[in-house]
Amino acid sequence: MIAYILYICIVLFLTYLGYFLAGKHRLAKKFYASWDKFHQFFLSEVEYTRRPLDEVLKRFEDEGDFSGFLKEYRNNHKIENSIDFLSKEENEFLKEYFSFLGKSDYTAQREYFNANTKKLNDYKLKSEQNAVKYTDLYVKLGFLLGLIIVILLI
Amino acid sequence: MLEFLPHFIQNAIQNVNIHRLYELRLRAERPIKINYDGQYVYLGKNGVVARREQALKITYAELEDCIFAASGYSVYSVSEQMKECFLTTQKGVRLGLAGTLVREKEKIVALRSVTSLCIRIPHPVLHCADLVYDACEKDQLRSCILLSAPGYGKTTVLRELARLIGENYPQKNILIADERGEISCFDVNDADVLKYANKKDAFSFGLRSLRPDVIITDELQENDYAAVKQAIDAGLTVIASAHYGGEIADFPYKFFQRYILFDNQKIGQAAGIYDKNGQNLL
Repeated sequence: MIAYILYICIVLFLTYLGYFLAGKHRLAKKFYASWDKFHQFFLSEVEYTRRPLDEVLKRFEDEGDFSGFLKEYRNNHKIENSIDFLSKEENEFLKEYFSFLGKSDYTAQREYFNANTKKLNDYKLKSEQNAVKYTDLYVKLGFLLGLIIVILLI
Repeated sequence: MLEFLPHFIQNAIQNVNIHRLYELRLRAERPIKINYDGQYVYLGKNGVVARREQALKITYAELEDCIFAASGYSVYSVSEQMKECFLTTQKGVRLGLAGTLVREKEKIVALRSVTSLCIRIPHPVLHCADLVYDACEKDQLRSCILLSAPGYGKTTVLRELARLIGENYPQKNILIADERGEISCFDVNDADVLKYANKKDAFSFGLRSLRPDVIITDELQENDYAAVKQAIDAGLTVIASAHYGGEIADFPYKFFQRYILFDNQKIGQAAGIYDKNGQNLL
Protein backbone atom coordinates (compact mmCIF):
# COMPACT_ATOMS: atom_id res chain seq x y z
CA MET A 1 0.00 0.00 0.00
CA ILE A 2 2.79 2.37 1.03
CA ALA A 3 4.62 1.51 -2.19
CA TYR A 4 1.58 2.50 -4.28
CA ILE A 5 1.28 5.80 -2.44
CA LEU A 6 4.98 6.38 -3.06
CA TYR A 7 4.56 5.65 -6.80
CA ILE A 8 1.67 8.12 -7.04
CA CYS A 9 3.73 10.73 -5.16
CA ILE A 10 6.65 10.29 -7.58
CA VAL A 11 4.38 10.77 -10.61
CA LEU A 12 2.64 13.78 -9.03
CA PHE A 13 5.92 15.36 -7.96
CA LEU A 14 7.54 15.02 -11.38
CA THR A 15 4.39 16.30 -13.09
CA TYR A 16 4.42 19.32 -10.79
CA LEU A 17 8.14 19.77 -11.45
CA GLY A 18 7.34 19.92 -15.16
CA TYR A 19 4.69 22.55 -14.47
CA PHE A 20 7.15 24.48 -12.27
CA LEU A 21 9.88 24.43 -14.92
CA ALA A 22 7.50 26.01 -17.46
CA GLY A 23 6.92 28.86 -14.97
CA LYS A 24 9.19 31.34 -16.75
CA HIS A 25 7.06 31.07 -19.89
CA ARG A 26 3.91 31.79 -17.89
CA LEU A 27 5.66 34.77 -16.25
CA ALA A 28 6.62 36.06 -19.69
CA LYS A 29 3.00 35.68 -20.81
CA LYS A 30 1.76 37.70 -17.81
CA PHE A 31 4.51 40.27 -18.34
CA TYR A 32 3.54 40.80 -21.98
CA ALA A 33 -0.17 40.98 -21.13
CA SER A 34 0.59 43.78 -18.63
CA TRP A 35 3.01 45.49 -21.00
CA ASP A 36 0.37 45.48 -23.73
CA LYS A 37 -2.18 46.92 -21.27
CA PHE A 38 0.31 49.65 -20.38
CA HIS A 39 1.03 50.28 -24.07
CA GLN A 40 -2.67 50.90 -24.79
CA PHE A 41 -2.97 53.07 -21.67
CA PHE A 42 0.06 55.14 -22.61
CA LEU A 43 -1.09 55.60 -26.21
CA SER A 44 -4.45 56.92 -25.02
CA GLU A 45 -2.65 59.26 -22.59
CA VAL A 46 -0.45 60.62 -25.39
CA GLU A 47 -3.47 60.98 -27.67
CA TYR A 48 -5.78 62.71 -25.22
CA THR A 49 -4.83 63.81 -21.71
CA ARG A 50 -1.04 64.09 -22.13
CA ARG A 51 -0.38 63.75 -18.44
CA PRO A 52 3.29 63.74 -17.37
CA LEU A 53 4.88 60.31 -17.47
CA ASP A 54 5.28 59.93 -13.70
CA GLU A 55 1.57 60.53 -13.29
CA VAL A 56 0.81 58.03 -16.04
CA LEU A 57 3.02 55.42 -14.38
CA LYS A 58 1.40 56.08 -11.03
CA ARG A 59 -2.10 55.80 -12.48
CA PHE A 60 -1.44 52.55 -14.29
CA GLU A 61 -2.84 49.82 -12.12
CA ASP A 62 -1.46 46.35 -12.42
CA GLU A 63 0.32 43.74 -10.39
CA GLY A 64 3.05 41.19 -10.89
CA ASP A 65 6.48 41.51 -12.41
CA PHE A 66 5.60 44.28 -14.86
CA SER A 67 4.27 46.45 -12.08
CA GLY A 68 7.50 45.94 -10.11
CA PHE A 69 9.49 46.77 -13.21
CA LEU A 70 7.50 50.00 -13.74
CA LYS A 71 8.02 51.00 -10.12
CA GLU A 72 11.78 50.63 -10.56
CA TYR A 73 11.66 52.58 -13.83
CA ARG A 74 9.69 55.37 -12.17
CA ASN A 75 12.40 55.81 -9.55
CA ASN A 76 15.33 56.39 -11.89
CA HIS A 77 13.91 56.56 -15.43
CA LYS A 78 16.45 54.01 -16.57
CA ILE A 79 16.45 50.27 -17.09
CA GLU A 80 19.41 48.88 -15.28
CA ASN A 81 18.61 45.17 -14.98
CA SER A 82 17.45 42.66 -17.52
CA ILE A 83 14.30 40.63 -16.98
CA ASP A 84 15.55 37.09 -16.51
CA PHE A 85 12.56 35.30 -18.03
CA LEU A 86 12.81 37.30 -21.27
CA SER A 87 15.23 36.46 -24.04
CA LYS A 88 18.16 38.73 -24.94
CA GLU A 89 16.31 40.03 -27.97
CA GLU A 90 13.19 40.71 -25.89
CA ASN A 91 15.22 42.54 -23.24
CA GLU A 92 16.71 44.72 -25.96
CA PHE A 93 13.25 45.56 -27.25
CA LEU A 94 12.16 46.40 -23.69
CA LYS A 95 15.15 48.71 -23.20
CA GLU A 96 14.60 50.43 -26.52
CA TYR A 97 10.89 50.87 -25.82
CA PHE A 98 11.44 52.46 -22.42
CA SER A 99 14.39 54.56 -23.52
CA PHE A 100 12.06 56.34 -25.95
CA LEU A 101 9.22 56.77 -23.45
CA GLY A 102 8.49 60.47 -22.95
CA LYS A 103 11.58 61.57 -24.87
CA SER A 104 9.87 63.39 -27.74
CA ASP A 105 6.80 65.42 -28.60
CA TYR A 106 3.40 63.76 -28.83
CA THR A 107 3.45 63.30 -32.61
CA ALA A 108 6.75 61.42 -32.47
CA GLN A 109 5.63 59.44 -29.40
CA ARG A 110 2.35 58.48 -31.04
CA GLU A 111 4.07 57.39 -34.22
CA TYR A 112 6.87 55.48 -32.52
CA PHE A 113 4.62 53.60 -30.10
CA ASN A 114 1.93 52.92 -32.69
CA ALA A 115 4.64 51.50 -34.93
CA ASN A 116 5.70 49.20 -32.08
CA THR A 117 2.18 47.92 -31.44
CA LYS A 118 2.57 45.09 -33.95
CA LYS A 119 5.98 44.05 -32.61
CA LEU A 120 4.64 44.02 -29.07
CA ASN A 121 1.58 42.05 -30.15
CA ASP A 122 3.79 39.51 -31.89
CA TYR A 123 5.87 39.04 -28.73
CA LYS A 124 2.69 38.81 -26.67
CA LEU A 125 1.20 36.20 -28.97
CA LYS A 126 4.45 34.24 -29.00
CA SER A 127 4.60 34.32 -25.19
CA GLU A 128 1.01 33.05 -24.97
CA GLN A 129 1.80 30.21 -27.38
CA ASN A 130 5.03 29.42 -25.52
CA ALA A 131 3.26 29.37 -22.17
CA VAL A 132 0.71 26.82 -23.45
CA LYS A 133 3.29 24.84 -25.43
CA TYR A 134 5.95 24.56 -22.73
CA THR A 135 3.55 24.04 -19.83
CA ASP A 136 1.94 21.22 -21.78
CA LEU A 137 5.28 19.78 -22.84
CA TYR A 138 6.96 19.92 -19.41
CA VAL A 139 3.90 18.57 -17.61
CA LYS A 140 3.75 15.65 -20.04
CA LEU A 141 7.50 15.03 -19.78
CA GLY A 142 7.28 15.14 -15.99
CA PHE A 143 4.38 12.73 -15.98
CA LEU A 144 6.16 10.34 -18.39
CA LEU A 145 9.39 10.49 -16.40
CA GLY A 146 7.37 9.70 -13.28
CA LEU A 147 5.77 6.73 -15.01
CA ILE A 148 9.14 5.43 -16.25
CA ILE A 149 10.63 5.67 -12.76
CA VAL A 150 7.58 3.87 -11.31
CA ILE A 151 7.82 1.12 -13.97
CA LEU A 152 11.53 0.71 -13.25
CA LEU A 153 10.83 0.52 -9.53
CA ILE A 154 8.11 -2.09 -10.04
CA MET B 1 12.08 72.79 -7.02
CA LEU B 2 15.28 72.66 -9.10
CA GLU B 3 15.74 68.90 -9.03
CA PHE B 4 15.66 68.79 -12.84
CA LEU B 5 19.10 70.46 -12.94
CA PRO B 6 22.28 68.36 -13.23
CA HIS B 7 23.74 67.46 -9.84
CA PHE B 8 26.81 69.68 -10.21
CA ILE B 9 24.59 72.75 -10.67
CA GLN B 10 22.33 71.73 -7.80
CA ASN B 11 25.40 71.39 -5.57
CA ALA B 12 26.68 74.82 -6.62
CA ILE B 13 23.28 76.41 -5.93
CA GLN B 14 23.38 75.03 -2.41
CA ASN B 15 26.19 77.52 -1.81
CA VAL B 16 24.05 80.55 -2.65
CA ASN B 17 21.02 82.01 -0.89
CA ILE B 18 18.10 80.59 -2.87
CA HIS B 19 15.83 83.46 -1.74
CA ARG B 20 18.04 85.90 -3.61
CA LEU B 21 18.38 83.76 -6.71
CA TYR B 22 15.94 84.94 -9.39
CA GLU B 23 17.22 83.44 -12.58
CA LEU B 24 19.69 80.96 -14.04
CA ARG B 25 21.05 81.31 -17.55
CA LEU B 26 22.37 78.05 -18.96
CA ARG B 27 23.99 78.22 -22.38
CA ALA B 28 25.59 75.14 -23.90
CA GLU B 29 29.39 75.12 -23.47
CA ARG B 30 29.26 78.66 -21.97
CA PRO B 31 29.76 79.85 -18.39
CA ILE B 32 26.63 79.64 -16.26
CA LYS B 33 25.22 82.98 -15.15
CA ILE B 34 22.73 83.66 -12.41
CA ASN B 35 20.64 86.66 -11.49
CA TYR B 36 21.54 87.05 -7.86
CA ASP B 37 19.83 89.87 -6.01
CA GLY B 38 19.15 91.65 -9.30
CA GLN B 39 22.72 91.38 -10.64
CA TYR B 40 24.06 88.92 -13.20
CA VAL B 41 27.03 87.01 -11.82
CA TYR B 42 28.80 83.75 -12.68
CA LEU B 43 28.06 80.50 -10.89
CA GLY B 44 31.07 78.47 -9.80
CA LYS B 45 31.45 75.18 -7.97
CA ASN B 46 31.25 76.89 -4.58
CA GLY B 47 28.69 79.54 -5.43
CA VAL B 48 29.11 83.00 -6.91
CA VAL B 49 32.46 83.61 -8.64
CA ALA B 50 33.87 86.83 -10.03
CA ARG B 51 35.72 85.49 -13.05
CA ARG B 52 34.21 83.98 -16.16
CA GLU B 53 36.94 81.28 -16.28
CA GLN B 54 35.93 79.96 -12.85
CA ALA B 55 32.31 79.52 -13.81
CA LEU B 56 30.70 76.13 -14.38
CA LYS B 57 29.72 75.09 -17.89
CA ILE B 58 26.97 72.84 -19.15
CA THR B 59 27.20 70.55 -22.18
CA TYR B 60 24.58 70.10 -24.92
CA ALA B 61 23.76 66.62 -23.62
CA GLU B 62 23.31 67.88 -20.06
CA LEU B 63 21.06 70.64 -21.35
CA GLU B 64 18.93 68.06 -23.13
CA ASP B 65 18.73 65.88 -20.00
CA CYS B 66 17.75 68.96 -18.06
CA ILE B 67 14.80 69.64 -20.40
CA PHE B 68 13.75 65.99 -20.27
CA ALA B 69 13.75 66.05 -16.46
CA ALA B 70 12.01 69.45 -16.34
CA SER B 71 9.24 68.10 -18.53
CA GLY B 72 8.59 65.43 -15.89
CA TYR B 73 10.33 62.90 -18.17
CA SER B 74 7.57 63.47 -20.71
CA VAL B 75 8.38 65.92 -23.47
CA TYR B 76 5.06 65.01 -25.15
CA SER B 77 3.17 66.64 -22.27
CA VAL B 78 4.88 70.01 -22.84
CA SER B 79 5.33 70.00 -26.63
CA GLU B 80 2.72 72.74 -27.14
CA GLN B 81 4.60 74.92 -24.64
CA MET B 82 7.92 74.12 -26.26
CA LYS B 83 6.62 75.37 -29.60
CA GLU B 84 6.27 78.72 -27.82
CA CYS B 85 9.84 78.41 -26.51
CA PHE B 86 9.07 77.78 -22.88
CA LEU B 87 8.07 75.07 -20.49
CA THR B 88 6.84 75.24 -16.94
CA THR B 89 7.74 72.47 -14.52
CA GLN B 90 5.12 70.93 -12.28
CA LYS B 91 6.46 73.06 -9.45
CA GLY B 92 5.96 76.29 -11.40
CA VAL B 93 9.53 76.97 -12.48
CA ARG B 94 9.49 78.52 -15.94
CA LEU B 95 12.19 77.63 -18.44
CA GLY B 96 12.63 79.86 -21.45
CA LEU B 97 14.18 77.92 -24.33
CA ALA B 98 16.31 79.02 -27.23
CA GLY B 99 17.08 76.69 -30.10
CA THR B 100 15.99 75.97 -33.64
CA LEU B 101 12.30 76.28 -34.49
CA VAL B 102 11.02 73.83 -37.06
CA ARG B 103 8.37 75.28 -39.37
CA GLU B 104 5.93 73.58 -41.68
CA LYS B 105 3.52 75.61 -43.81
CA GLU B 106 4.11 78.75 -41.75
CA LYS B 107 3.32 76.87 -38.53
CA ILE B 108 5.83 76.07 -35.84
CA VAL B 109 5.82 72.30 -35.39
CA ALA B 110 8.70 71.80 -32.99
CA LEU B 111 11.67 73.28 -31.23
CA ARG B 112 14.87 71.29 -31.64
CA SER B 113 18.55 71.60 -30.72
CA VAL B 114 18.02 73.69 -27.62
CA THR B 115 21.12 75.74 -26.87
CA SER B 116 20.04 78.00 -24.00
CA LEU B 117 17.79 77.87 -20.98
CA CYS B 118 16.57 80.83 -18.99
CA ILE B 119 15.27 79.44 -15.72
CA ARG B 120 13.14 81.82 -13.68
CA ILE B 121 12.74 80.83 -10.08
CA PRO B 122 9.43 81.82 -8.50
CA HIS B 123 9.39 83.13 -4.94
CA PRO B 124 6.29 83.60 -2.82
CA VAL B 125 6.76 87.08 -1.33
CA LEU B 126 4.16 87.77 1.32
CA HIS B 127 2.98 91.41 1.51
CA CYS B 128 4.72 92.37 -1.74
CA ALA B 129 1.34 93.46 -3.13
CA ASP B 130 0.13 95.40 -0.07
CA LEU B 131 0.75 98.80 -1.63
CA VAL B 132 -0.99 97.89 -4.88
CA TYR B 133 -3.85 96.20 -3.05
CA ASP B 134 -4.41 99.17 -0.73
CA ALA B 135 -4.37 101.64 -3.60
CA CYS B 136 -6.44 99.67 -6.09
CA GLU B 137 -8.58 96.97 -4.53
CA LYS B 138 -9.07 97.60 -0.83
CA ASP B 139 -12.26 99.70 -0.92
CA GLN B 140 -13.65 98.21 -4.13
CA LEU B 141 -12.47 95.88 -6.85
CA ARG B 142 -10.98 97.68 -9.83
CA SER B 143 -9.56 96.48 -13.11
CA CYS B 144 -5.88 97.23 -13.17
CA ILE B 145 -2.78 96.44 -15.13
CA LEU B 146 0.77 96.00 -13.84
CA LEU B 147 3.37 97.31 -16.25
CA SER B 148 7.13 96.83 -16.38
CA ALA B 149 9.96 95.37 -18.40
CA PRO B 150 10.42 91.57 -18.01
CA GLY B 151 11.75 90.31 -14.70
CA TYR B 152 10.49 92.99 -12.30
CA GLY B 153 8.17 90.82 -10.24
CA LYS B 154 4.79 91.38 -11.87
CA THR B 155 3.80 87.72 -11.61
CA THR B 156 4.78 87.57 -7.93
CA VAL B 157 2.63 90.63 -7.21
CA LEU B 158 -0.26 89.19 -9.25
CA ARG B 159 -0.07 85.95 -7.28
CA GLU B 160 -0.12 87.84 -4.01
CA LEU B 161 -3.04 90.01 -5.23
CA ALA B 162 -4.97 86.83 -6.06
CA ARG B 163 -4.35 85.60 -2.53
CA LEU B 164 -5.36 88.92 -0.92
CA ILE B 165 -8.53 89.30 -2.99
CA GLY B 166 -9.50 85.72 -2.21
CA GLU B 167 -9.00 86.42 1.48
CA ASN B 168 -10.83 89.75 1.60
CA TYR B 169 -13.61 89.18 -0.92
CA PRO B 170 -14.91 85.72 -0.08
CA GLN B 171 -18.12 86.36 -2.05
CA LYS B 172 -16.24 86.87 -5.28
CA ASN B 173 -15.22 84.11 -7.68
CA ILE B 174 -11.70 84.51 -8.94
CA LEU B 175 -10.50 82.95 -12.15
CA ILE B 176 -6.79 82.76 -12.87
CA ALA B 177 -6.06 82.47 -16.59
CA ASP B 178 -2.58 81.07 -16.14
CA GLU B 179 -1.18 80.69 -19.62
CA ARG B 180 2.29 79.72 -18.43
CA GLY B 181 1.44 78.03 -15.14
CA GLU B 182 3.42 80.56 -13.12
CA ILE B 183 0.75 82.41 -11.12
CA SER B 184 -0.78 79.30 -9.60
CA CYS B 185 2.43 77.55 -8.59
CA PHE B 186 1.99 78.76 -4.99
CA ASP B 187 -1.10 79.19 -2.85
CA VAL B 188 -3.71 81.38 -4.54
CA ASN B 189 -6.55 80.78 -2.09
CA ASP B 190 -9.87 79.58 -3.52
CA ALA B 191 -9.29 80.78 -7.07
CA ASP B 192 -10.28 78.68 -10.09
CA VAL B 193 -7.24 78.10 -12.26
CA LEU B 194 -7.26 77.57 -16.03
CA LYS B 195 -3.72 76.54 -16.91
CA TYR B 196 -1.94 76.74 -20.26
CA ALA B 197 -4.92 78.13 -22.19
CA ASN B 198 -4.38 81.22 -24.29
CA LYS B 199 -6.15 84.36 -23.07
CA LYS B 200 -8.88 84.26 -25.70
CA ASP B 201 -9.86 80.68 -24.85
CA ALA B 202 -9.46 81.14 -21.11
CA PHE B 203 -11.64 84.26 -21.06
CA SER B 204 -14.26 82.70 -23.30
CA PHE B 205 -14.41 79.29 -21.52
CA GLY B 206 -14.13 80.91 -18.11
CA LEU B 207 -16.92 83.43 -18.73
CA ARG B 208 -19.26 80.78 -20.04
CA SER B 209 -18.67 78.05 -17.52
CA LEU B 210 -17.06 79.37 -14.35
CA ARG B 211 -18.95 82.64 -13.78
CA PRO B 212 -16.00 84.63 -12.45
CA ASP B 213 -16.20 88.07 -10.85
CA VAL B 214 -12.49 88.69 -11.11
CA ILE B 215 -10.07 87.43 -13.75
CA ILE B 216 -6.37 87.51 -13.05
CA THR B 217 -3.94 86.94 -15.88
CA ASP B 218 -0.39 87.81 -16.85
CA GLU B 219 1.71 88.89 -19.82
CA LEU B 220 -0.98 90.35 -22.07
CA GLN B 221 0.00 90.50 -25.73
CA GLU B 222 -1.43 92.89 -28.27
CA ASN B 223 -4.07 90.45 -29.48
CA ASP B 224 -5.26 89.68 -25.92
CA TYR B 225 -6.60 93.15 -25.18
CA ALA B 226 -9.85 92.64 -27.10
CA ALA B 227 -10.82 89.74 -24.82
CA VAL B 228 -9.82 91.77 -21.76
CA LYS B 229 -11.91 94.77 -22.87
CA GLN B 230 -14.86 92.52 -23.56
CA ALA B 231 -14.63 91.09 -20.03
CA ILE B 232 -14.35 94.55 -18.45
CA ASP B 233 -17.28 95.80 -20.53
CA ALA B 234 -19.25 92.79 -19.31
CA GLY B 235 -18.78 94.05 -15.75
CA LEU B 236 -15.89 91.87 -14.63
CA THR B 237 -12.78 92.99 -12.84
CA VAL B 238 -9.62 92.12 -14.73
CA ILE B 239 -6.24 92.30 -13.08
CA ALA B 240 -3.45 91.73 -15.55
CA SER B 241 0.18 92.39 -16.29
CA ALA B 242 2.04 93.31 -19.45
CA HIS B 243 5.52 94.17 -20.60
CA TYR B 244 5.76 97.90 -21.04
CA GLY B 245 8.63 100.28 -20.61
CA GLY B 246 7.19 103.60 -21.75
CA GLU B 247 5.24 106.45 -20.19
CA ILE B 248 1.77 105.86 -18.80
CA ALA B 249 0.34 108.61 -21.01
CA ASP B 250 1.47 106.64 -24.08
CA PHE B 251 0.01 103.32 -22.98
CA PRO B 252 -2.59 102.59 -25.68
CA TYR B 253 -5.19 100.58 -23.77
CA LYS B 254 -7.23 102.93 -21.63
CA PHE B 255 -10.00 100.70 -20.33
CA PHE B 256 -8.39 99.81 -16.97
CA GLN B 257 -9.18 101.80 -13.83
CA ARG B 258 -5.66 101.65 -12.46
CA TYR B 259 -2.22 101.47 -14.11
CA ILE B 260 0.70 100.35 -11.97
CA LEU B 261 4.11 101.15 -13.30
CA PHE B 262 6.98 99.22 -11.70
CA ASP B 263 10.26 100.74 -10.67
CA ASN B 264 12.97 99.59 -13.08
CA GLN B 265 15.60 99.78 -10.37
CA LYS B 266 13.88 97.79 -7.62
CA ILE B 267 12.23 94.44 -8.24
CA GLY B 268 8.57 94.27 -7.19
CA GLN B 269 8.34 97.95 -6.27
CA ALA B 270 5.60 100.17 -7.76
CA ALA B 271 7.01 103.48 -9.02
CA GLY B 272 3.57 104.91 -9.71
CA ILE B 273 -0.09 103.97 -9.49
CA TYR B 274 -2.14 105.94 -12.00
CA ASP B 275 -5.85 106.42 -12.45
CA LYS B 276 -7.70 106.71 -15.75
CA ASN B 277 -6.74 110.37 -16.07
CA GLY B 278 -3.06 109.62 -15.67
CA GLN B 279 -2.86 111.06 -12.17
CA ASN B 280 -0.33 109.39 -9.90
CA LEU B 281 -2.03 108.25 -6.70
CA LEU B 282 1.15 107.53 -4.78
